[in-house]
Amino acid sequence: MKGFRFSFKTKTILILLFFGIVPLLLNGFFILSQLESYLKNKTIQNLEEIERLVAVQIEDFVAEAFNNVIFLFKTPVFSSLTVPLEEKIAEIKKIASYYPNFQDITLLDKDGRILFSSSFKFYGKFSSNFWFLQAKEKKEVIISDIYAVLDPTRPTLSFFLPILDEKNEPIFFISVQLNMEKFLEIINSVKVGERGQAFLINERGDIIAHPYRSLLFEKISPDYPLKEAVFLKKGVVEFTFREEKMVGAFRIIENFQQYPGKNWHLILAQPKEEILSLVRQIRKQIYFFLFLSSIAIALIASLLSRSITQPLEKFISAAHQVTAGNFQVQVEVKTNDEFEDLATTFNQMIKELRNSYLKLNEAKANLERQVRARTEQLETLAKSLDKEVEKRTRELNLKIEELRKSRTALINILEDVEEARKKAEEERKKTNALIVNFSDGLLFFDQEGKLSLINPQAEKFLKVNSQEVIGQSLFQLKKIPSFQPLIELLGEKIQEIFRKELKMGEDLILEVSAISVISEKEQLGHLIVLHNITREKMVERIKTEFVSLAAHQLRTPLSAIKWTLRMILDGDLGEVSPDQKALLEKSYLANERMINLINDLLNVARIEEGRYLYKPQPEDIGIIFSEVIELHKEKAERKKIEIIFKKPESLPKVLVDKEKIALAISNLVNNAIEYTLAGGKVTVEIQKREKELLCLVSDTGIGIPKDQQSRVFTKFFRATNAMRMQTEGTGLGLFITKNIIEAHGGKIWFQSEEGKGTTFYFSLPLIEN
Amino acid sequence: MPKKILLIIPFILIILITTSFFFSPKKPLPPTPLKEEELNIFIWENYLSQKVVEEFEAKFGVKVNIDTFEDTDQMFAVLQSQPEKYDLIVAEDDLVVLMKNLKLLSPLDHSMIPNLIYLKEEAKQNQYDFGNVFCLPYVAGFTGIAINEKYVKDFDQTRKILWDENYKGRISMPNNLEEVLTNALFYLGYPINTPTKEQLAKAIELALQQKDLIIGYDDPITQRNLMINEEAWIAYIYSTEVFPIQKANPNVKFFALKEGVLLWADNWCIPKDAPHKHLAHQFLNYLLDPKVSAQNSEEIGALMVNEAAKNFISPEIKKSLEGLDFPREREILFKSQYFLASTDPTIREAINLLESELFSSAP
Repeated sequence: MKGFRFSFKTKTILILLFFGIVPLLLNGFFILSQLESYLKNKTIQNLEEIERLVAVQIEDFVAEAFNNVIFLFKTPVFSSLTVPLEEKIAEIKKIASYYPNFQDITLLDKDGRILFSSSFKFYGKFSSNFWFLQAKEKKEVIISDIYAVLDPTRPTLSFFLPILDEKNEPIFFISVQLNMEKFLEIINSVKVGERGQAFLINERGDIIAHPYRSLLFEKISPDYPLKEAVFLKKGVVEFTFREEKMVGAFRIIENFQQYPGKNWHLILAQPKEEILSLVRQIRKQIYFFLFLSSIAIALIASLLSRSITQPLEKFISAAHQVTAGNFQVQVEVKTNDEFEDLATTFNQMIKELRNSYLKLNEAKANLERQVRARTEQLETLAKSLDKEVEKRTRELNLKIEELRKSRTALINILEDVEEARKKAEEERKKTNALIVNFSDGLLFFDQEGKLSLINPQAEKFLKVNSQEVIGQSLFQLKKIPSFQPLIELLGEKIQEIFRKELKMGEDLILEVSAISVISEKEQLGHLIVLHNITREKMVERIKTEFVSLAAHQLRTPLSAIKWTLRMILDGDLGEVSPDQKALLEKSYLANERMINLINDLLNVARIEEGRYLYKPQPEDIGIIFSEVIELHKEKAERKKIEIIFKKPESLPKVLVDKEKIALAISNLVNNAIEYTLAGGKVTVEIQKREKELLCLVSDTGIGIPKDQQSRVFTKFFRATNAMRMQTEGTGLGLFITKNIIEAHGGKIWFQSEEGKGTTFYFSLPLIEN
Repeated sequence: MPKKILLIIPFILIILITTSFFFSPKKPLPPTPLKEEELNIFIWENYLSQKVVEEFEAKFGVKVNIDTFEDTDQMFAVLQSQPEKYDLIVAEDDLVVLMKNLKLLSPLDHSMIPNLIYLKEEAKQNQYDFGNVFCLPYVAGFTGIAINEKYVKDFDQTRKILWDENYKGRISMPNNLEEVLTNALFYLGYPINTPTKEQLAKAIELALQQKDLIIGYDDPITQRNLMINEEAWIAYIYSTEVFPIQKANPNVKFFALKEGVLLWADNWCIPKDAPHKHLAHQFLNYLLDPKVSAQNSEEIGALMVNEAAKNFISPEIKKSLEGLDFPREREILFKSQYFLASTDPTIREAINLLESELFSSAP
């Protein structure tokens, strides 16, 4: 890593700047820090001075009113018992008219009941008034606090004056309400700065005088130190007022001259912001000065550093010239200091260098002569090389001629290829005709899932024009209504399917197969074959109807036979000999099988006709299983097969048609027992899943051969090994079972291995809340 | 690199030192609330169950001091001259308006009174303090006439009887002069909230005529006792006094009056300078508890405006309290009014004048 390189000049400048600017900045910031407190103190001093004057005015105002009250009411007119009440009232009326400053004068009896009032504008019983009670108790004039009588914008100060008789007992009281308008003017007239205000607050922190009337009797903000201020008598205070920081001076007004006061706080305060704005202005000027000084120092520093580094630069340039080969150079420094000494030595050194240089030149000339002789030898050698090149060129030309011949042969081969291509084209046309005239509908989707071929038959089935759909993707095709069912069947990504039925309309049922087209291990896409099976379906339906009809007709006589046989066997029609009974029992069982077969056939017919109705109700599937297993117990015991039934302790109910689901379970259990050899095991299990019940019936029986597994759920299917073991059986049971389970919204599937056993699974959805 | 850092460090230090002058941390700590151990209540006499108070004291481990007043003029005078004396006061509707205007009240902190949900809807949407910003309605009632049927027959349910010479010395009037004045205004058929000066003068004249007929202008408890011991046969009296009187003397019946009656509601308020506001809120919340409210109602004989409390009051008491909060007769209720103009200067002047006229000749 290469470190930063500072030139000598830079270092000099930095040192000079450090010792110039740092003291300057230090001084500057010191002044700034002192400035704020200085200005604040100055402002406070001003405020305190104004405050002193305002306090005197307030004291005077109250004291004067107090003196007036004493002067006017401490007279014999009021204290004399001989003067009748009417005269006293007249005197009050007279005073009230002369002194508009008294907004109300009320005469009270010794218990505080109103005898007369000059205005009657007050509220509340005097007898409970604290100031009245004090006046009564102390027998002296009591000054109230400033309070609102009936109007909060018009504060009042009241005097309570006891009139005493000669025994020094109060006989009357006079309450005088003072008009405070002039008093408020004292506060209003105070002007401090632009937004400074004067506040008068009482001991409890209520604003009792302020330029804004609406604020009267509001509380001063809680950060004003009420108690501390009373203790300190006067001082500086910071508090919040209507979300603004105020700085001001306070003073407690304790006494109105010689009369007792109320500990009112007179506060003169200015928004802190206002004081700070002045500070800011001065601060700006100081910053500007600091900035200018810094620039000046920087200039001086750079000049000084130049005078130091100039001689150094002369040395550097001289050294450069010497390096370039100029030995005539001389350094001229006349500073009369170490630099000049250095210059003399430097010049001496150059002289030495020049001598060495001359000697070196002589040696160089010698060397050049030797080099010239060697060059001549080399030129001779080059001439012999030229001849060799000429010979090689001639050989090359021969090779080119050979190449030209081979090219002609190649062109001939290409012509043969063209012929083969034409033949292939003809083949392709044939294939195309094949596809176009094919009776099944054909579609071909390429590797990207885009339709690349559609034959006329398919166009007819899907009611589209080939030009509209060729090149469209599966997703785009899905938007064409007639295409939609097909695309839904194929899925988003085409999978191989084999003969799936697709109902396109009442008169068109298709059988769809999707085949992967693979050529030389590379998948080219999918071929979709649409085979019209409408007619076959119709035939099938007619067949089903026939079977249904026939079965119905068969069942009635079979039932009759069954009951007749039963009655004979039960001995209802007289004694039957053991031989007869054996024969009859065989007939009964054969008849029973017949009925079962007919029932199965009927069920199948119903399923196919869509008449296999389900009446779902919430049922406990566990109980149904138990009942079915109970029915098969005897048969299993006979075959020495163990039936194991496992289920969780509690099972949620599922919506099922009990009769049908029992039939489905019965089919599975019956099959399991039927196709398991003696000593085997049948396991029935119910498992609870998140959204469904999973039921499984597994056996250790003969299993289903792998090649026949895909047809297990089709009609009349019987596995070859099953047929060998049990000749009877319709091959309808699992078809019916599958239809029942699916009609319940469930799924059925199985796992089987020939010779080891089979497990059938089916699921039933749980009832959603 | 290191050299450069060495050169920069002193600059940074200088800047840090100098700027630190400008930031001085100075934040006052909020005052920690002390546990309030005392609650001073100022209320009408017999207007709050002693049992309820004692249970509150026991539950919260505090001391409750109860001072009583005879009329709210008295209470107001105390509040005006000593706003820090009480933590809870009870005041009627018009006084709440006045105290609110004079900034004498502290707003209620609803978050501390979760039981407010039990308050009757009418009490929440009242005219004088919509939404219970400053006061918690307590009891609603009206002023009517109680008579002793043993002595007074054929009462026609009008105020005429209060000026009837036949019953001289048997009539009791309340000591509240607002009642005295509005009684006269009702009798004369004048609007009680917006009377003219002439109408007021006539009402005062009429009220003064009563002075010689009546036993006196008495506080509610005195009125109650006068009716019970049958010294008074007729009383113009608050509906809240009726239950205890009837319990002691079943001959006394109470009537709303055909001219209409003065409706009023008493409310709990916290004065602006109350020293124990937290405890005051706790008390109000306690009082609103339906069971407590029911207990209180049974004891003071008045229904509190508490919806849920009704289910806890015994049926007999509930039956005798019914119709005492508002007149049962629709036509009377239609003519009845709250007296919200009581602090109107003209009306105030009239009331004060009436007082001086009634008492100046007394000594």
